[in-house]
Amino acid sequence: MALWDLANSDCIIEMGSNLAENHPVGFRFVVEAQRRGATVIHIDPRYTRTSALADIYAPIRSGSDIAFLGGMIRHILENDLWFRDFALAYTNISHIIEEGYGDPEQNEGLFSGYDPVAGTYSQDTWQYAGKTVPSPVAEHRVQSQENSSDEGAAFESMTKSPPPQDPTLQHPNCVYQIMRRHYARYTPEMVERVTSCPKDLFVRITEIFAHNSGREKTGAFTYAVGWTHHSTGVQIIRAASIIQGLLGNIGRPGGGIMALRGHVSIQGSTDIPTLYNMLPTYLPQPNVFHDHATVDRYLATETPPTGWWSNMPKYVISLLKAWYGEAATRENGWGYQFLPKLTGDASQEPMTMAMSDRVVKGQFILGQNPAVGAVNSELVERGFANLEWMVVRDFAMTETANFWQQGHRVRKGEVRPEEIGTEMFFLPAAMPGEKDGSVTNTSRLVQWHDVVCEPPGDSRSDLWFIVHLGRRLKELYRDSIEPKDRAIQALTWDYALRGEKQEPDAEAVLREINGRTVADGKQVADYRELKDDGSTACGGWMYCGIFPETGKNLSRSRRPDGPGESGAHLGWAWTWPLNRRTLYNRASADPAGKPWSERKKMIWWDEAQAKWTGNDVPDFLADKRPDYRPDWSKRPHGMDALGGDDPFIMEADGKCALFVPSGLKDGPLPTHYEPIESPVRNPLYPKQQRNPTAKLWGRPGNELHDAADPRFPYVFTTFRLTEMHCGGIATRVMPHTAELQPEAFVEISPELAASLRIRHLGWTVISTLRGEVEVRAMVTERLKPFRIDGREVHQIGMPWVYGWQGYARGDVANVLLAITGDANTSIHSTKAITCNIRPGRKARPDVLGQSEART
Amino acid sequence: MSAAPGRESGHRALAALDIVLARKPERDDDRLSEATAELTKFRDAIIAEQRGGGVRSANDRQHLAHLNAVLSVVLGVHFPLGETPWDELQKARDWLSDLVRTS
Repeated sequence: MALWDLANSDCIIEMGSNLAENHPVGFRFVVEAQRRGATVIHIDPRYTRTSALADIYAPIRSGSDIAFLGGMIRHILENDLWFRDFALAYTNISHIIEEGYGDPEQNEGLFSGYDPVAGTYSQDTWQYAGKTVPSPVAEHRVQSQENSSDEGAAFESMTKSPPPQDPTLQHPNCVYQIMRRHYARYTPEMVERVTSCPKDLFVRITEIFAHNSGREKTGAFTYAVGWTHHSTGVQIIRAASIIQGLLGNIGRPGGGIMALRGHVSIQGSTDIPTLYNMLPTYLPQPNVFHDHATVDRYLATETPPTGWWSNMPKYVISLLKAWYGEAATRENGWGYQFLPKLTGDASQEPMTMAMSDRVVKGQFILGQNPAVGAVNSELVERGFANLEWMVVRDFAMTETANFWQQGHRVRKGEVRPEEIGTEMFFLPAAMPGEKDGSVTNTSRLVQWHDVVCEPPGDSRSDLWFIVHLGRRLKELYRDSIEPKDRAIQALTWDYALRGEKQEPDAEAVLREINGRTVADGKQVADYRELKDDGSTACGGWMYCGIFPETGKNLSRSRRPDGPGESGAHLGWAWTWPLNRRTLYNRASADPAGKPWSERKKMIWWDEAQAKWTGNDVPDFLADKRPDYRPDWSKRPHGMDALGGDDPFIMEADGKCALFVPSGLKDGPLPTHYEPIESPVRNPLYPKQQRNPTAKLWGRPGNELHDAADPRFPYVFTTFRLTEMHCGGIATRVMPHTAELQPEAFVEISPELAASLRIRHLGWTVISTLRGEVEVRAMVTERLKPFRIDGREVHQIGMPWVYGWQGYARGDVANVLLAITGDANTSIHSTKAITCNIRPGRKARPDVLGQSEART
Repeated sequence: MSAAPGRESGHRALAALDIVLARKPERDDDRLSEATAELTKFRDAIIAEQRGGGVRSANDRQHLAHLNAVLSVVLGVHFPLGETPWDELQKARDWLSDLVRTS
């Protein structure tokens, strides 16, 4: 959904996000919704400015979100609050699951298919009965082989018939019945027991949200890293998507799940990824251990035969043509062998360990400050110290760039700077206003910005650095005859350079991403024009159409809707794909193609014109009639296998997946597990304390706390501050922003402060097995003690944006955290760990005599 | 051909991998760390020799490429994506054995 579409919501639940403080620009649309009569609810461990502006605030303990959301699912199902016409037609609620499916309710907290030695699941028993369902192509897809080591043959089962269904919902293994059993114990009492949210408040919130959903009303969730940074992060978001599927809040005005992205191009760095496991626009990176030896086998294995992703070969081959140009031919598999192949998890956490093990020899660090922002900072510094070289580009000195001089280990006296052999290159980088480029953030909105002024001195844009690095590498390997160097030799790298500084033309990169026809170089206007025969080149199919013709960069567009217009603001910048603001918006109309209500209309079927039309770009085949049904006798493929009333076109069966048969590594339904570190035992599954598939690396220096470890009785969470931008350095070096939040602190409830004799603004030491920090106490009623499973549990919180550089300083919160990973994404847990806290100062003095914090 | 530099590290890596293959531990096991560290030493010794002008033939370059491949598989077991590739680790172990034996 578009950020501004929040204004059309009748109820907004802000959870896992502090929207008012961390997304203040977008928060205006929540305020507007509230002005129009919407109920705004904030559910969070801390009472923040977002809470202060909400109609209802509900406190919950960090890491208990699935218990809360699972309770909502149960309450909606058991009280028949769901939008039956929507969910029956558009979700897989009536689909029948394999007989062998086993639920955590019958298996001590584990789904069927669990391998306790490997710590992974087989998804065989999670499938639709008689089918093997390919997951949609998405980030992290190629982690397991999804039963498709047979070049995709099993997936062909989706072309033979629709998945078996029971519209009466009586079949014991239909999704409806499975969900009812799965969530039966997530009662209001259990929600209170796990989360500490009073049961009456929980019920009130659920009923308000449900009653603000249906034909005439819609509700939305907003979330940020308060949901993602958990060992169950993906499943928390899944729980919200189940609620929205049940209530009909997807693909409709004011309905959805709003992923709040950061100021910087977080969405963009996933779309055109800086991630290790994806090619641009979510195409899977080949894996050497899968059936990916040739491009044909890779495509046969990974391409879902039904649904929109059946077009994947067009996008892959067009990408290879964009990257390798004339060197990509049909004979050499379009240059597929130039692509590196995965062997394992190369995300940040394992690579930190690999640095420690001296596998990695060098690292470029652009646009981030991992000495502050990465978990287990001291282990990160140890890794840095084992590198041969490091390149850091930033516009001010960062903790990462001078870890060798002032890092934790140096200040603790464990190592002297001259003993660290890493050769450090610190290069000055241009600031955002000093360069052209685009930012893609919340709502998939791509916005272009022009250079305002030249960067000073030797400062250069990141684009300049990457382009010139590439040019030098190509020159270095120009005469090589080694096969491994062919990838660099074959790479197209012909970006025009301008001016004295030889700055690359940023729009040339966007044109390449948009795509062109190979024969005449003409820009492609629509991804539906892309081909799998090498005649088109496209650097990222979802962005196709952003630069549809020469001189027409639609991300520059800044025309808002005026009074009397739809309010979709289709002329404001550009959203992928095809400037579509709401994904799956076919669901805004009923199965017959009529809007569910006049108040909530978005797109609809126009019988006279025989096409879909409305206030947004339809997310459907424009001329596919609502009454189209697949002819299963013809083994339909692609979109032919989806009916005219199947809005979720990226899914293999066109249905919203309440139950996920493939693609998730930790279960088809969200289940409450305690955080990896928790002061309490799991009240729901006493024998399964935490997510059994979570990635844990319990090596020396990264030890984890046991459940209910009395040495670490408190829940610890981290958060951002409005006044501190991203990792903080940009604002910590500026006097006028630094003075607004001059040093690090820890938020503690008055009750905990009194029991520990910690006074407001007094010094405290917070400790974990990974390290300790000292900060002043902010004793505040923003935090209240929780009552979990019958006993009092305290939570404390600390901003993670401080370090030893700049005017505003403070200990690095990430010293306390462990390197762990969600099974699906490898994302770390920063929102719910355990710790201890005491009044006073650290026992060991800083050998440099310069504490991070003011004294 | 004279003995490859760091060959002792190769032997130690081989011994660690044998234990790993016998035990098939969960991820980030000490022996995997040991194998990784020894393979890295083996690799770094070969690189150092080659940078010092010690490349005698295309075989020497291949030697390094093969060792890097073994290291990639070991990392894939150390930090797996989905299923742990035990069968491939066995192949990598045998490849390493050949490298150590023939170098």
